[in-house]
Amino acid sequence: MFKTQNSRLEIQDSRFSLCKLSVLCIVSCVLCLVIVGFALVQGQLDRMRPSRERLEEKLIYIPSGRFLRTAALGFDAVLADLLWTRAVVYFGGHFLTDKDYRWLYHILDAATTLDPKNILAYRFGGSLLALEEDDVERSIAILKKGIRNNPDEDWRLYFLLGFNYFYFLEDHIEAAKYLERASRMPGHPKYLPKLTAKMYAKAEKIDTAIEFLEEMYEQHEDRNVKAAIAERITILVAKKQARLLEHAAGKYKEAYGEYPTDVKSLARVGLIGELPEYPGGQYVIDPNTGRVDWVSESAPQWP
Amino acid sequence: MSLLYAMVIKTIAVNTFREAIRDKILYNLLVFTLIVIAASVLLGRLTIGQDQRVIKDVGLAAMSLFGVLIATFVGTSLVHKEIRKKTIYTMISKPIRRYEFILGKYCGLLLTMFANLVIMIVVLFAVLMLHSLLFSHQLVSGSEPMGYASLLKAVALIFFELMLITSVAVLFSTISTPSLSVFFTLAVYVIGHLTVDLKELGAASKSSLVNGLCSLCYYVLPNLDNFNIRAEMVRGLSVGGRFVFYAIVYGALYMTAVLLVSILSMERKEFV
Repeated sequence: MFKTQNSRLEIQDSRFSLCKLSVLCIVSCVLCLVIVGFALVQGQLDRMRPSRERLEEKLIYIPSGRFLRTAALGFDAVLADLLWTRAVVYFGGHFLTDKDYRWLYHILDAATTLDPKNILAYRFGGSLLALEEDDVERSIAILKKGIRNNPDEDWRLYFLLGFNYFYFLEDHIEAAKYLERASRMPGHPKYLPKLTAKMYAKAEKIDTAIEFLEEMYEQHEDRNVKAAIAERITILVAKKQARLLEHAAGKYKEAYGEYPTDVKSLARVGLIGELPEYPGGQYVIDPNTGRVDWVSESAPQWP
Repeated sequence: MSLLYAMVIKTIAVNTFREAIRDKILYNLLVFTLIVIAASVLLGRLTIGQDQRVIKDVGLAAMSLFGVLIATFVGTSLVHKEIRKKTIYTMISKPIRRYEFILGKYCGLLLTMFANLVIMIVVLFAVLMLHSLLFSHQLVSGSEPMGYASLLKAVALIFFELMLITSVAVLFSTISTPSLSVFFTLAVYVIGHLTVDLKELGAASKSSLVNGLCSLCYYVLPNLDNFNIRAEMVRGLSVGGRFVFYAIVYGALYMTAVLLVSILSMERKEFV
């Protein structure tokens, strides 16, 4: 009797287990269907509202870096990294589509307020805000912020600032100042001192350019670099002397009604003291315009 | 005699550690932290050659944040669990002083935090090494060096920060329910990172009363920013040994004060 009772209990147990298993299967199937269902609905929602617009909305609501610094509760660095990553993705997304980067400065400003040592962010903003967004003012602003926070870390910040002043604002004096600063920093490229001198020359600050190059000549040890700098100094000295000769030629014309035919004429009438010498060449005056130039077999181009 | 007290504290600490490592909340938070550290590799790929820095920043932030959560959720239930399970009566009927009980619980929780941090730092180093092996050729020239020693320095101060938060959690666990204790402990954590701004606010105020109150709050409330050198360590900037020493001394003193209050609270508690 007990055996029959036991076997009945066993049958009941196995039926119960089977029932539980089938319920579990049914629930699992329903769960899978529900998951597929809401994934499909999400896809539909995504099509109705493009993701880029959502990103724009999120960027609009990013508070200033000053507020974020307080709100970060000590997690400034990781929040800065997240913002920096977002800036890169934001730029990349718009670069491939509409080239509208109106929020780039805002997000880079917030990221660099949280992490003032992120030099790459300053360089990124400094280059792209000017070149891609035509926003030179903000490009300069972010570069100056980078220099304020990292005055001695990267020559490129000064270089980019100098480039902005030269290329976009045509302010050769400011450009030359920043390029000079860049060329005094370690790791700068070898062409930078010459470029700086060119900039000063363009700004008619020839004496400053010569002084700067003479200093660079003393500092550099590489023979090739020294030779290049010396050549540039020669050209600038020649340009300076040419300017003086042009000024004297102007006075000659006032006195005699026409420009002199050669430089010696200026010396003969006492408008200049000694005849200036150009190594391996000579100065010539255009009698029609009074412009002074020099001729030499090996002279490089005028800066 | 003092050796006996130390043995009692050690026994309670070890048992607390064993109990804590069985807590599911601990494992959930630990696993989540490890996932976040590993996933930071993906985030790093979105930056321009600053992958390593992002991994370190996210790793240290995850250790700090989840360490605080572990300290809060596990620490605030320390005493209350004993009361709820009625095992406290067994404890107080034994020749165990209440301060030994508190210190034992605290040390046990510290041991738990230490074990968690060790696991997290091992995973972080492993992720960094793997990343440098796989992607070193793609790093931007001039990117920060690996700086394992700097990371360890940052983690050491994170541990001191967690020690302080743990002591606060233990304090609240002696005077309040677990849910309120969690809330108060997290509030102290948030306040601890806002005290510097509070002081600046007071300094900017024209009222000397406001200035005085803000200064008082600044010195009474814990300043958790003292333990935050994560950004400097990741970027390879130097932090003076003196600053680290004073930060540790500050932490030790503040912790001692909080534990003393916990002990006083426990001494005055009636278990009926």
